[in-house]
Amino acid sequence: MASLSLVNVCKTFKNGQIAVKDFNLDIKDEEFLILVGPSGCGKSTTLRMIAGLEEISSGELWIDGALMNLTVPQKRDLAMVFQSYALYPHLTVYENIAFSLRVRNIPQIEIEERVKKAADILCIRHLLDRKPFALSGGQKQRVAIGSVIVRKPKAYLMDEPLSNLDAKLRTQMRVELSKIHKELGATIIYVTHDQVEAMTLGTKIVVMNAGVIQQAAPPEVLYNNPVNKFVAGFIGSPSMNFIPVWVERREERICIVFSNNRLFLNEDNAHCLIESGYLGRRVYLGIRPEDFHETGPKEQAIKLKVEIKEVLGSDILLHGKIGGNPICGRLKPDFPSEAGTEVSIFADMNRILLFDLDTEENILDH
Amino acid sequence: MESVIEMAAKDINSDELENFKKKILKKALFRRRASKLILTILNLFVALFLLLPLLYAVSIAFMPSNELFTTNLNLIPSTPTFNNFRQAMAKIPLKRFIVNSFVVAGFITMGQIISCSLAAFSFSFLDFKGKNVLFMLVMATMMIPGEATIISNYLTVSSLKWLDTYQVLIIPYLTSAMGIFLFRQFYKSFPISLYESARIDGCSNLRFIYSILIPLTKSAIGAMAVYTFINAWNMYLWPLLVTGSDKMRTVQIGIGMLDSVDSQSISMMIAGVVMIIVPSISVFIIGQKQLIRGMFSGAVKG
Ligand SMILES: Nc1ncnc2c1ncn2[C@@H]1O[C@H](COP(=O)(O)OP(=O)(O)O)[C@@H](O)[C@H]1O
Ligand SMILES: [Mg+2]
Repeated sequence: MASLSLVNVCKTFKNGQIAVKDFNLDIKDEEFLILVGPSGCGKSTTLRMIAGLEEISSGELWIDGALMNLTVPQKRDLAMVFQSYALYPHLTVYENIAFSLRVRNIPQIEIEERVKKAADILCIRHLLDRKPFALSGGQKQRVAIGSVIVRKPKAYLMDEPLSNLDAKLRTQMRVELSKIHKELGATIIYVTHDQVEAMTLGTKIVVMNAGVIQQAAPPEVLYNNPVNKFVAGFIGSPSMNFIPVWVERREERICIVFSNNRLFLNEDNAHCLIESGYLGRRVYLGIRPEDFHETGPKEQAIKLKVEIKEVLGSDILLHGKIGGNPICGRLKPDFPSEAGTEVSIFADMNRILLFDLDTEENILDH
Repeated sequence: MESVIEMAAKDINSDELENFKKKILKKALFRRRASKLILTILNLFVALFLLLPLLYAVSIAFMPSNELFTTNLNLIPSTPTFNNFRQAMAKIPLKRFIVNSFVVAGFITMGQIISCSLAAFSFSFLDFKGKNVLFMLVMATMMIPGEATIISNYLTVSSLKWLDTYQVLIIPYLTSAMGIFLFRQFYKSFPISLYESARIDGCSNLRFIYSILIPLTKSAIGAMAVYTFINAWNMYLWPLLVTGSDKMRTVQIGIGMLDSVDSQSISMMIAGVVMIIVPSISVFIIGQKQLIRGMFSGAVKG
């Protein structure tokens, strides 16, 4: 396994499309790194540049201390799982898994041993004689993963490997991927557009938007302390609520005011706002659905007219609007609420975030 | 469903119901068989109609001349004979011609398959400067009719002292723009991720070609082989121009030698023709399995 380094990497396609801009990232040994972002933000392009399938327009790619910009994919010693699985249709599962070893002229006995071991890890021992067309989607996925884990490459690259599976299989494979990561002690670079996958799998997550890294951090940091409104809105499901609010001073305390609601900030946040001169200005309030509570002090109450109530079983989601901004709250199922009624919910003021109206950057430093 | 049947069956007992079901099934089976039979008969009829000239030629080849030149319509020889074949073989060295044609068509087929598939591989999988311009250039050659270049080609090969040899029949046809085009079209539908995956697995281009690409494009290769072989087998103008001796002639030229002014025998000529179409038809029959087979079920996703 190995460590990778990307320095100022840019990618401009022949048609002038800029897919990746100034990408700087260090990937440590044994890290499970996730590239996440909306569709078309340049995740696959970044991964393909690392693999050598796409030329790097400018910048440097270092793998284990060697500059790899111009090295052909064959010589980079990486392994990749494709979204489309890329199994060879004329070869059996065994031969598919063994292919990369055969290419390397590894002795027959060792090939057999390693294929069997990989098949055992993925529980596909009984499928070894089948051809890909006789496999289900989930089985194909396992074979595709099997054919990369037989090798001991410097890093595993995976481009949305679970996106063709149904929800249940996806959850199951997610757990298995986590296990494989621990078992192999592998460096994995994993692309997904699904933030749940990112949060559950990654030891470090890189959130991208329009070809630019927004934030690279462990999952908890992304969740609790996103650097800007984009990351805050992207991570978490249902996503964070944003409301433009006024910052005002009332009764010797700092509060935020929006359409007949007034919330008092805690000491730290109030201090922070005054310091950076936001008093009397407009900012975005960001609050996650799960940071609303059924009870609390009166000064934290927000009135919400419920438009839709979604029952999830363990929780309920209340959807409504405050001053034209869609608001979603996640509450306990026994909370008395019906669509069409007005309820009071209580915001957890220690967990709110505030963002600059123009730069959309996080104002509070938690 | 069941409830509907039960409701209808309320007033008849179970035996009657069974009989009724059997009758319906029988009827359906009969209808299915009848329509199949009609289709088969129709097919046979059309096939017979289309093949009539060919079958008639085969039949003539076995007819003594006197049966052919009568006012009666003799579709089938009343006294079949191998005489025509014997005569044809005696008049011209047909065996030699057939061997020549096989050698020439075989080498051309192999050459074209190899050169065209490799060229098409570079055009569709590799990325290099001037790729599109080069491809256009190759395609542009298709617009020049072969007859336009035949004289200059003749002068070239004669200055190389190649006239009346195998290489003069084979080498100018070792590649073809049409072949490159066809292979490229076929590779276009080939999932590029298989190539990328193989490369990351450490597979070289050549290895990819023989262990992935060729097995997966067998049907295209088969189709190309049949097409090229038959074309090469039927070549006429070029062999006529560059070969002079019996040793080097191909069948299509040789067959013309059966037709001479002084002793014209139609049945003998047709016997010769029948003998030389046998190989090309058999190539087609052997190759057609490959033509039909599709290899792409389950290549990607599922
Ligand atoms: N070969 C290409 N030529 C031109 N533009 C491309 C090419 N491949 C991708 N792009 C563009 O680059 C951007 C990033 O693509 P990609 O990395 O595939 O996004 P994603 O994050 O969804 O994987 C997209 O806007 C896409 O349209
Ligand atoms: Mg992608």
